[in-house]
Amino acid sequence: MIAFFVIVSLWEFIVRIKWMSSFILPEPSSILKSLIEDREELWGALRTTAFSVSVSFGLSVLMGVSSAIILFTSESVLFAFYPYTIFFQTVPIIAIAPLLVIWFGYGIPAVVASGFIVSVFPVVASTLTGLLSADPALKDLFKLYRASRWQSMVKLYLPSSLPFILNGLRISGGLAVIGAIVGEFLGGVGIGSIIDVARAQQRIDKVFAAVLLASGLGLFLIKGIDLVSYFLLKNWHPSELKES
Amino acid sequence: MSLPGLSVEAIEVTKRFASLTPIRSVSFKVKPGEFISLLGPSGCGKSTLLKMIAGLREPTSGKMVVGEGSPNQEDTRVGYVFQDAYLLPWRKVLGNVTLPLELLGATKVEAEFKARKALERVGLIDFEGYYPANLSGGMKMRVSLARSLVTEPNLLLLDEPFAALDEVTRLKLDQDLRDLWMESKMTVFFVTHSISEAAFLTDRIFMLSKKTAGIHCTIENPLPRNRTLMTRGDSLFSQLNQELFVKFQELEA
Repeated sequence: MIAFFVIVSLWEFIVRIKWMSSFILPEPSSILKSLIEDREELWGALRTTAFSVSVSFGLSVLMGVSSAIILFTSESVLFAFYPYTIFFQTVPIIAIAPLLVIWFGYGIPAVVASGFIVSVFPVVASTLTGLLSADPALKDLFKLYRASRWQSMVKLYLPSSLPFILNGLRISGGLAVIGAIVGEFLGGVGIGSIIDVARAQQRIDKVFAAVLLASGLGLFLIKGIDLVSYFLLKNWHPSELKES
Repeated sequence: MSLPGLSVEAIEVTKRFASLTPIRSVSFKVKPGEFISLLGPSGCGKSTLLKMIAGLREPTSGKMVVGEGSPNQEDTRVGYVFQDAYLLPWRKVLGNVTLPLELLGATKVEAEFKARKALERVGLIDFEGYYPANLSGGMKMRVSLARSLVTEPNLLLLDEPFAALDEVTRLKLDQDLRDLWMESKMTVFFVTHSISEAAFLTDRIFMLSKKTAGIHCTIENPLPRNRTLMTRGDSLFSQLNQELFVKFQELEA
């Protein structure tokens, strides 16, 4: 908290004494002013962005976990299809964002698609790693009692990959925000659109205000995942166990 | 109700891995209800043999006959205890013990009833609501034992189950296991590298050798059926230990 005040005051001071132009780096007070004065516009945009982020993140979780399960069912399926999922990780979103607008039209659908594309891979990869890391002795135990594939998935593979999945979600959550904002640059809605327009109008303070809200959104999402993680793992996983 | 123990017969069983043959044409016959230990130094294939008896691994050649047919038939109930407890950490003690019954299709009520009975037998009934992370090593092993007993197995296989525990806990669990076996009719295989554990627990001791990748010799246990802590002070017990120790030395030489 103290560190925060020191940094912010120093920043304000540097800009005030004109070491740096407020066109390059606006002082914190003007960012705050923009946050207050443009609150209606910013708030509306934030809600739109939050909606798109939730949908794309939700899709990533759903599609990511289920495709990892499908990939896991057989080695040949994994071998044949895993490379395609890597495509999602390596695609330069900024290059294909205009295409998304052409495919899905302006507005939320293109934004959701953009957020989904960049955030799905970490979910697939981490779920897959989790499923493949189930303990061999426990696998033997399930085999001994003639567990069906469904029983093994529900009672062994999924619970033991939970810590991996949650870790993937933390990465994916941040990426969903970035992907959605990039989509909004071209899709013409939400925080991304405000950043784009404000930049064109040289309203750097507003750009910063919007960026601040976007990171707040990301932070909120990741903290939410942390909370879910805590409740799911607190009794058994070393990462959430308290010393007793 | 507990079924009569299963007979186990190995016919020229061989297990080969890439460049390793830990088990080479091993044959033996075990009658229903016997308590056998597989004793030998580390890396002599004890665990591999046990997994083949369980039906978890297939022999490369030869045949393992459990009961009348293969190890996977209907009234073959195998209990298996691993070197570590291997509990599901996300399930409470009770949930860990009900697991085998759930997998075999029992109802929740039936599974919980039997699980509580099994927990009672290992003295952990008061801990059914605990997560494994909150239990000591010895308690986890007891839960693991309860889990293997909950299906009322007619063949119980234990792979150095108490090796990682402290001496006192181990003596206690050895005693419990012996008592459990006396009450039931099950056939038990106990893998160990501890001479005194094998001497105390079992009726027959199969001594495995790394060199020949098979059973070096079989020793009948002369101790009386009823064994207590006092048995360990018996001169017969020390003689057996001595004999086993000499044989062990031969293996290593």
